[in-house]
Amino acid sequence: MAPLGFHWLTFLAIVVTAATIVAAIIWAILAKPRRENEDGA
Amino acid sequence: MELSRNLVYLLILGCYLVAVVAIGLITGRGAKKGSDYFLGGRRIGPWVTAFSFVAAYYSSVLIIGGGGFGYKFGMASIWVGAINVLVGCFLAWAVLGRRLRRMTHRLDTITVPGFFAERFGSPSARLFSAAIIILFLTIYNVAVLKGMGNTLEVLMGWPYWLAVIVSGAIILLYVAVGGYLAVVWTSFVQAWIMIFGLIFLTVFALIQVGGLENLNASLAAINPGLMKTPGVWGWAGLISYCLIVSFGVWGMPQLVIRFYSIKKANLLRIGTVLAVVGGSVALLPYLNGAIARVLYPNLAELYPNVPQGQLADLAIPTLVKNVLPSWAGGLLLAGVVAAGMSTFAAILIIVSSAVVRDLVQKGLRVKMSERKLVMWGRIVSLAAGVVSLLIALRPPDLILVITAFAWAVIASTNLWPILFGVYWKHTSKAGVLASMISGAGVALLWQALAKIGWKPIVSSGIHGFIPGIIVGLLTLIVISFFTRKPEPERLKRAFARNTPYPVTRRNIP
Repeated sequence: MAPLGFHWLTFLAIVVTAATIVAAIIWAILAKPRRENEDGA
Repeated sequence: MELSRNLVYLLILGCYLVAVVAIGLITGRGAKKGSDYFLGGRRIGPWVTAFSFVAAYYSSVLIIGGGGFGYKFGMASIWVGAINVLVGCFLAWAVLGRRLRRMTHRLDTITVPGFFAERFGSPSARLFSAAIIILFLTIYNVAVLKGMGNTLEVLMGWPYWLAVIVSGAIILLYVAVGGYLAVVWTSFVQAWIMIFGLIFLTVFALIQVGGLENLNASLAAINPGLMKTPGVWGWAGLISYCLIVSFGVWGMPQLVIRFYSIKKANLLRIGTVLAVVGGSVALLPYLNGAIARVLYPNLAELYPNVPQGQLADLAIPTLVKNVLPSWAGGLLLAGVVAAGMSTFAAILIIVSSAVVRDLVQKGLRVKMSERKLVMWGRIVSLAAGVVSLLIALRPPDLILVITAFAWAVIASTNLWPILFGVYWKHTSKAGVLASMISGAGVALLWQALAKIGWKPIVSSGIHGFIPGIIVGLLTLIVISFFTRKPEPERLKRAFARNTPYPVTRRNIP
C-alpha cells in the first residue's frame, strides 16, 4: 500500500505527474537555444 | 437560499461573459492579413500560447466527462490526467513544438492542411485533411456546445435551448470579429478561471470527504476495484482511452496550431514548462468524480428522471451544488463554461481556415486579396458556428454517435503526417495520403462496428484510435519506402537552416 491509503499503481500516476513537471523544467534549461533570425523562426 | 445561490451564479457568470467579450473584441482588433486573422500574425508570447493550449485542450468534456469517469471507474481514472500531462502536454511540446514552428514559418504556411501541401507537395493531402477537419470538427463542436448547455441547464436551471444559444452567440461574436488573437487571449483568461475553479472544488470536496486516506478507504468499502489500477476499468479500456486523449493531441489542428503562432521558436521552452504546470489540473476532475462516488453513491435517487447511462455526468454538478459555497460554485460554473468556450472558439478558427484558405483559395485557386481573406474568414467562422449551434439545439442521434468518433478520426488523419513531416525527410506524398485515408478509414470502421455491437470489437474494449494509428503508421512507412520522396528543392525549403524566412524558391541555400 502506498502513502495516504493509495493503491501503489494509482499513486504512481501522481508520481508520474510530478516527475513530468520536473522533467519539463530540466528540459527547458538544457535544451540548446538555437540562433534565430529576426522573425524568431 | 436556492434563489440567492442562483443569483450569485448568475452574477459571476454574467461578469465573466462580459469580460470575455470585452477581451475578445479589444485584443482581436486590426486583423488586416489572413495570417493575422488565422494565426495572430505569429506574435503570441509563451504565457498566452501555453495557457490557451491548456484551455483548448481541456474542454467542458474533461471537467464534466472526466468527473463521470472518476465516478464510474474510481481512482484508476487519474491515470488519464497523468498521461495528459506527460504525453499531451510535455512530449507534444518538446517533440513537435520547435520543429513545427520553424518549418511552417520556412514554408510560409498558416494551416495544418497547408503544411501537408507545402511539405509533401500534395494538394490531395491538403484537400483530404481539410475535408476531415471541416466535417468532424464541426460535429465535435456540437458535443462541446451540448456539454456547456447541459451544465448551465443543471446548475442554473435554464432551459437547454437558452443555454446553448447564449453561450454559442457570445463565442460567435468575439471569434468573428477578433479571429485567432481574440481566441488565444480569451482562452488565456479562461484557462485561469478553469484552473482556479477546479482547485477550489478539489479543496472543498476533499475536506468534505475527510481527506485522501478516507477517500481511498471509503472507495474500497464500496468496491475494492474503485481504488485500484486498472480496477473496474480494465487495462484495455484505460490504456486506449489514455492514448486517444493524450497522443491524439499531436494530430489535433486546434492544438498544434499553437506551435505555429508563437513569437519565437525558442520561447517554446518556457511555454513547455507553463503548459505542463497548467495542464496538471487534468487530474482533478477524475479525483473529484471519485469523491462524488463516495459522497453520493446513489445518484439515481437524486435524479430519478435521468437515464441510467447519463447519471455519472451529473457527479461534478452535484458536487459543486452541495460542497462549494455560492461564490466558488459560480467560479467553477464559469470555469466549465470557459473550458467549453475556448475549445469551441479554437475549433471555429480552424474550420474557417480550412474552408477559406485550404479549400477555396488554394484548392479551387480562387484569387483573394488579404483583406478579402480576412472578410471570408469572419463569414465562414460565423457560418460554421451557426451550423454547430443549430444542430446542438436538437442534435440527431446520428450526430451524437459521430461526436464519439470525431477526435479519433481527426487524430488518425493528421498525427503521423505531422510527426513524420517534421522529422523524416524520406516521407513521400503517396505515403502521407495513404496513411491519412487508411488511418481515418480504420478508426471510423472500428468505431462503427463497435457501435452496432460486433462482439470481438466490443469485448476487446479498444478504441478505434488505436487500430487507426497503427494502420496509419505502417502504411506511411511502407509506402514511403517504395515511392519517390519529395524533390530535393522542397526538402531544402523545409529543412533549411540559417536562411531568410520564409524560404522561397529563390533563396534556397
